[in-house]
Amino acid sequence: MANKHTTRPITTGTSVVGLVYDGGVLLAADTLLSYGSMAKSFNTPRMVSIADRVLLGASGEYSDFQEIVSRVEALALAETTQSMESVYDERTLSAKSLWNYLRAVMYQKRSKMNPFWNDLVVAGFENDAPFLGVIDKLGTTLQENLVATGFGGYLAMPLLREKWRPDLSEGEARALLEDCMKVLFYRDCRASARIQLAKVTKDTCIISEPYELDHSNGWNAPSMQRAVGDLDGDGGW
Amino acid sequence: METRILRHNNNNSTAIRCTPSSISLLLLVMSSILLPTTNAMTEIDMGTTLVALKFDNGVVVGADTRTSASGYVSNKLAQKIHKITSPAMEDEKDNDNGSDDDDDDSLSCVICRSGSAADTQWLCQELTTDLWERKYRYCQKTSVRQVAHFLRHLMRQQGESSLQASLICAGCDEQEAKIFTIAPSGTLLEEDVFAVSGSGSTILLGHLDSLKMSMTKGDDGLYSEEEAVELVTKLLRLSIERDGSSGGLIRLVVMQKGKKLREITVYPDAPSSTQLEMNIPGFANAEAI
Repeated sequence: MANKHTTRPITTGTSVVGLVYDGGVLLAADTLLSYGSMAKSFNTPRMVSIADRVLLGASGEYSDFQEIVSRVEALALAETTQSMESVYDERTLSAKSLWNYLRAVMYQKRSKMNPFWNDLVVAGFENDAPFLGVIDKLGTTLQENLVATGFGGYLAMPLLREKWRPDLSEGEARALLEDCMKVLFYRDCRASARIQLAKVTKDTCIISEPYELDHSNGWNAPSMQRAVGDLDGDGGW
Repeated sequence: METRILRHNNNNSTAIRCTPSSISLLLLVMSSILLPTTNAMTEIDMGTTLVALKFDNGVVVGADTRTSASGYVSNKLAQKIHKITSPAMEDEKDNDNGSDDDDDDSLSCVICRSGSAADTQWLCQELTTDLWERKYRYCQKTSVRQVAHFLRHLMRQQGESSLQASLICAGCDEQEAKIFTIAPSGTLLEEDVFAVSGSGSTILLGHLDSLKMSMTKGDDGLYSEEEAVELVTKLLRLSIERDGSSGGLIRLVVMQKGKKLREITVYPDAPSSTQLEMNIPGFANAEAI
């Protein structure tokens, strides 16, 4: 039987950006779902929390993300209920093992020329240390302190690399991520100003409600006020 | 030579038979997955929204300000509305003689550009040069109709390699307000009441058609100037919301018979002051680094 293979993404989400700070991991993603160049939906969450311990975010094809979440939630449930030891002690899914499981899934799909068209971000806190990793559609994995998928790789990573320190407080981490999301809103055609933050620490694993970034200061930079390059004001900035 | 690329063996393991043709086919297929998906056109492309709407005795045009290239916003403050200025106005910029205004200023016309930024910038420059020549050689006053026809002529001249440009030419001259659209092939159409162009325009067509339908039921005319400006602003906001290739500010130009051309810039709505505190339950407030 001939199965259809994924050839291109249809309904997509854009960048997910994340960093490790002092005490946890903070992720940010906007809530826009694009259908080609059209903005299809403004309130779609692209990050989920698994078993109240691990965060999973994705950019790329949304249907593939939904399928992955469905499989991972089943896995998490099986981990807590069906394992032999679960009657005697608490076993939950760990971020690192989820990260490796997804690596195996992504690699196998790609080897069959039918990938999940996503860049996945996995975040958690275990063994008293934060964990942050990415997996791309080929099954490549990276564990890093700073991650950014999609356009974030070009626009947000330089900002993160410049400002990041291992001892960032949560407020500073949030400011840095919001700055990255603002730049992405200005310069990525498929991004919106409506974002969500997600945090995982030793005791918490929460995702915020979507909220609007304040971008009122983005249109009055001095370099933007005067027309240059002739062409009736269209010659650049 | 056998070309088997992927095959499940009986014991459920995959094996690749490595023949040269299978490798090249595999590489070809893999490269289509490995390369990032980009638009076919990587040149600077003005996915955009343009609106022109006639009102009482004039016309208002509106445009967004986003120029994009393969999903990257290369210019977030583009100027897509090219004003046709009479050469005499340029010469006497410092000499503010009120009496000269009536003579050469009867034409207010704009070209709204969508499509390839390079092609449309070139078209506008060619047009401006031609108008100057006509002014100084033949003392010829230009009408909106002439501007539109000249643009069409320029686009047809390219022949095989057509320019990637879709323009709206709108303005007021001696006669009345006019709106023309010029499609990439060079098709020229004069529009009755409104014209839209660009990737974001499809979102607005249904809305405008339904407004037009409700207008003919007993309304005695077009919108007033304030209504028209408000409507065009609203339309641009709607399409900026939905179209990924449109964004930034909203630029408007109002042209009326007997009045000077007026430009308006509308900024995106800033969030209310309460939102600025950005208190989110469970998360610390942002602190400067």
